[in-house]
Amino acid sequence: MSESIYEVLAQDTADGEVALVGSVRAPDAGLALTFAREIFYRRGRCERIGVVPREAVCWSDEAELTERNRDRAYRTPAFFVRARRDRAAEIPG
Amino acid sequence: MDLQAFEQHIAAGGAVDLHDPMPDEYREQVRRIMGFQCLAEIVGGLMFAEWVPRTPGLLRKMMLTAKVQDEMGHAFYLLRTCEDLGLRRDQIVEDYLCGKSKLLNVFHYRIESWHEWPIAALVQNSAALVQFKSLVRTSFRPYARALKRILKEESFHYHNALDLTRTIAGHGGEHRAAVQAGLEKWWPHVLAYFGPPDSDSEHNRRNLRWRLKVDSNDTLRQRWLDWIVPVLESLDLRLPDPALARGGDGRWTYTEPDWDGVRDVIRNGGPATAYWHDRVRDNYESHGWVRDLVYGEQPAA
Amino acid sequence: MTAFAGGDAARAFVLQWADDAFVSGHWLSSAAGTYGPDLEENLALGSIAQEHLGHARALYLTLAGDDRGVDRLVFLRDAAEFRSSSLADAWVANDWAFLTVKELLCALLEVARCGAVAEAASGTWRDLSATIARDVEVHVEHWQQWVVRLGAAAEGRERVGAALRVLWPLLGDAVDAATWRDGGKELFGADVAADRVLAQAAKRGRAIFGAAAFLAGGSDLPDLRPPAVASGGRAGRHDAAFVRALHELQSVYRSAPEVQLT
Repeated sequence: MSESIYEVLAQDTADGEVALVGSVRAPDAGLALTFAREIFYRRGRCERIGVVPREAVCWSDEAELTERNRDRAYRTPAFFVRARRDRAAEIPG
Repeated sequence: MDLQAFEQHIAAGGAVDLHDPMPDEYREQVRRIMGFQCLAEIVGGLMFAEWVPRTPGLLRKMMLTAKVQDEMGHAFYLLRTCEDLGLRRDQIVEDYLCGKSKLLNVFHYRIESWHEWPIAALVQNSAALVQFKSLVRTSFRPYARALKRILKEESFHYHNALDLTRTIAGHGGEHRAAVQAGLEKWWPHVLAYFGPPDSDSEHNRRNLRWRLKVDSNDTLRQRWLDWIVPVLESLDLRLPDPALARGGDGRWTYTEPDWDGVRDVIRNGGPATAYWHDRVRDNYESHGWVRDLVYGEQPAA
Repeated sequence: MTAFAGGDAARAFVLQWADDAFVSGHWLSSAAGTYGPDLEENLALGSIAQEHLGHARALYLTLAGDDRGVDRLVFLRDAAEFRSSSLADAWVANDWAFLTVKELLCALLEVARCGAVAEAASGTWRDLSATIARDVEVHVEHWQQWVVRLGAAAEGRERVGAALRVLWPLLGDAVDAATWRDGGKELFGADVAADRVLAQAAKRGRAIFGAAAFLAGGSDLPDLRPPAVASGGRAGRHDAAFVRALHELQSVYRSAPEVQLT
């Protein structure tokens, strides 16, 4: 079954990102593209739409992503505010 | 997967996506519910589709074609997720054709005149909207995503049905009378569509616990009445149930549907059960060769 | 909306054009809500049907002025007053190969007709024909993909071949040299050359079907020429199946013509 499933990628607006919007079953990429257009954009327009065979996508192990404890607070803007506040608290008097 | 931990996760407002671990019973039940709704969209779509060729107006014909196309689209969203959960799409149709899957009561009847079309669509669409707006809070995320898409489109169907009903009833006389007759025919069916008052069965408790059902049947029925009664009144249509009244607590009382009769129709069929069954079979089987040809034997990559 | 600017020939030309789109769209819309061959394809059918009907509406509007006038044209003319081609009329329920071949041939003819109109015309007619051609070129691509798919297996080739034997000759009858010449002159000041339209559609058809070799025994698709006089549906002669379908599609409107839905 999975060999005829295509993931559908689409970009709604020219300044938007390409996103995975769903999937279709089709005998080949050409028909998959037609189906994708009619199924996901039959009411409106989109900038671009594409299909990719499902088995061509490599997904990460989700648990690995969500469970990895990555403390990257130093690369967020809030970090500087906090750092300044902490420094101010250290100045005596 | 440990059932107790899973249930705690759901009870705490947690949700489940396609690739998350889930108990087999949950996966099975999600598949069953979505497959069931998919079938309802296919047969329900046919009920409205058979009037497209006779629609008396070119622009309206385009609108009705769009509505019917959407119904197939709704079936599609659900069906793709069922497939991702390991339920073959052919199985969904074939279980219906061999009598294994039972349809809700409304799908055992037929729209018998053009004047019935808009009012049947109006009461059915509003009932479906009430149900989907509740179910969109389900624990199964792919189902919620499909329902969100469906809700957006059902809203067009509802307004299309409302506008057509108003236009036709607005011609008065026999036209209004025919719309009224349609309302009287479909009212008890749609009231029963939400199902009998919830039993305290483990099956029902489990669906609620797993958030594969969000509100009780009676809650949904009350919500539908809250919505549809003023709409029908604004159309100057007579409410078909003399016992229908709103109590001081805001709750509606109404003549209970004949639940034994409803169960009998679901189990043994109604006036149009065989008709829909044969239509689906003809359409489905006469295209079997195409599906076999394009999906039967995959050439080696 | 201004009144239609053209004489009888111009009217006849536009009516043929609109009726082709309407009849094709009617048949397709009747198939769009049924399960077959597969749900994805049903959705595509629904869109193609709406495009046909939309093209018909745009063309009828040039004749009738508003939607109520359009509906009178669609629902109050008898079969003999319809000028859709026998190719547009052709329909077999639940026959995917037949539908594919019919839609492809209709689409090829439409693109060629639009091309000829775009060459002859200017202004709104040129814009309208360009819009229709753009939509229908996508249909060509769609049906061509199906022909290739069906042609990949013996059963598909056989069924497509059978449909092609019935439908290919109808492509020749779908052009009407006199009406297109005179109608084109009245409307655009230049004629719409039926022989060129037909040659163009047939050439593309040959390339698609010839490549996949659908006819058994190496027989070839016969040459097509515009008929000397309007033939089949173009002369108002429609088969019994069309007459029945038209009767059905007009039945509700005619039972209460006072109920205007627009």
